[in-house]
Amino acid sequence: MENDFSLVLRNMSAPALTTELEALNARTEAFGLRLSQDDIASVVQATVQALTDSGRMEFGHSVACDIAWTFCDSPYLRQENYAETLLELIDAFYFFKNTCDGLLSDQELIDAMRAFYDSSCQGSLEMLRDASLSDLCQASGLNLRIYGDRSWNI
Amino acid sequence: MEYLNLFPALPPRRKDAFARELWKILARKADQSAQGDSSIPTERAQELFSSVCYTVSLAPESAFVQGETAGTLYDMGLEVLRQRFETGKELYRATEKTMLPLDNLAYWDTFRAIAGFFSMYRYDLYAHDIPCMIDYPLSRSPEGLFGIDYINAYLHRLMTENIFCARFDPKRIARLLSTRCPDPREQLINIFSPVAETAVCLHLLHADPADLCFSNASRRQLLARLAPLSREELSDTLASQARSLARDDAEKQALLDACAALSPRLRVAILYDTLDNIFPDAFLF
Repeated sequence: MENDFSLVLRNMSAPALTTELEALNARTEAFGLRLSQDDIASVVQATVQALTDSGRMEFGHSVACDIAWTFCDSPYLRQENYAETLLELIDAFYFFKNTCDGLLSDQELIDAMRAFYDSSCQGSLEMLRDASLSDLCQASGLNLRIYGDRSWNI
Repeated sequence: MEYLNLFPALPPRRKDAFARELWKILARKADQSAQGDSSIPTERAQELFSSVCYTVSLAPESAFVQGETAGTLYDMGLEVLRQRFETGKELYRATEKTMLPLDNLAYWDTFRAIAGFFSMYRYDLYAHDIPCMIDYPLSRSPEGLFGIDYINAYLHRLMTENIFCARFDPKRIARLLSTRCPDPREQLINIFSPVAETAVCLHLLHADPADLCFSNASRRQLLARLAPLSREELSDTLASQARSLARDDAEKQALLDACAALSPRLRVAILYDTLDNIFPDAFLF
């Protein structure tokens, strides 16, 4: 059944995500960002690979579009580094998603990544990849909002 | 698509479409399980898919033959599960009335854990799962069953064993168990098996099974009675006693199972010319 799962993962994710990303272009163009067909193919491939590597499956709407939409007005994102950055962000998202073990929703995690990327990282993907989950939460104030005064060490 | 072998009544021409329909159900269940997130761990997806396949497999065969969609079959399977779940709750209450006043931790802990099963079981998401610890070993555990089907079969068997054992004085059962292991309270032991074995063999000697106890003389008498028998004759003799001791079909099956397990042990004991280890006076280690 594992083979079936991997196969279906690709078959289900790829066409739907391609359509979603094509539609997203219309919205991100307002921020001067657009993915070419080659870029879209790369993002689809990276998403499937990141899902496989992180041992997760997507069945409907893809988080890749949410990441792109949340980051598209970041001052550190330009058309020249848009596709490349998006690939890195997708990979980082699934890494953090497994780390937070369901404690943060998709959007909370993306918002935290964006807050950290814009503040402490100042656009450095390398710093983002090296961050801990508590770094991200501190940047977006999530630790206070969700966990109150309790200490939280991840 | 090996999983489609779970549905032998599925017409071959429907297989491709059926697989797509199953994945759609899985997507719906994954969405329900993800609670707003876009992805779930693959292990959970596999569990959900096992549950979907198991639920669909419970739909009547005729519905497969008629070419019903996987969605319709899934809904039929869910209804079967819901009914079995309600039956299970009734069965639990009925079994509760038969529980023996014996001090064995696994026996009671397992029974209480099954009460938790009825709170934890999600047949809409994990129909094949058994979310409770089943420690107490029955004389023969249900095999090849999942979810509520396993629990119902377990409770049926437990009730049968309890009802048989209720024919005996609990103090005599407790004494019998103490001859089988050093600490019958803490050990993972089945209560029914030693009771059944002892009762069947006493019955064979025309002694009162209610004694649940062999004297030296009765052990020698039993050995003399069994020693000349061939393997088949020994099995037949025990089975015949089991049948005459049973009061219904379920009890008969439980006693026959106990005799089937006893027979090879008796053959070895006969070779050594003693039944002291099968029916000991006291635990000797």
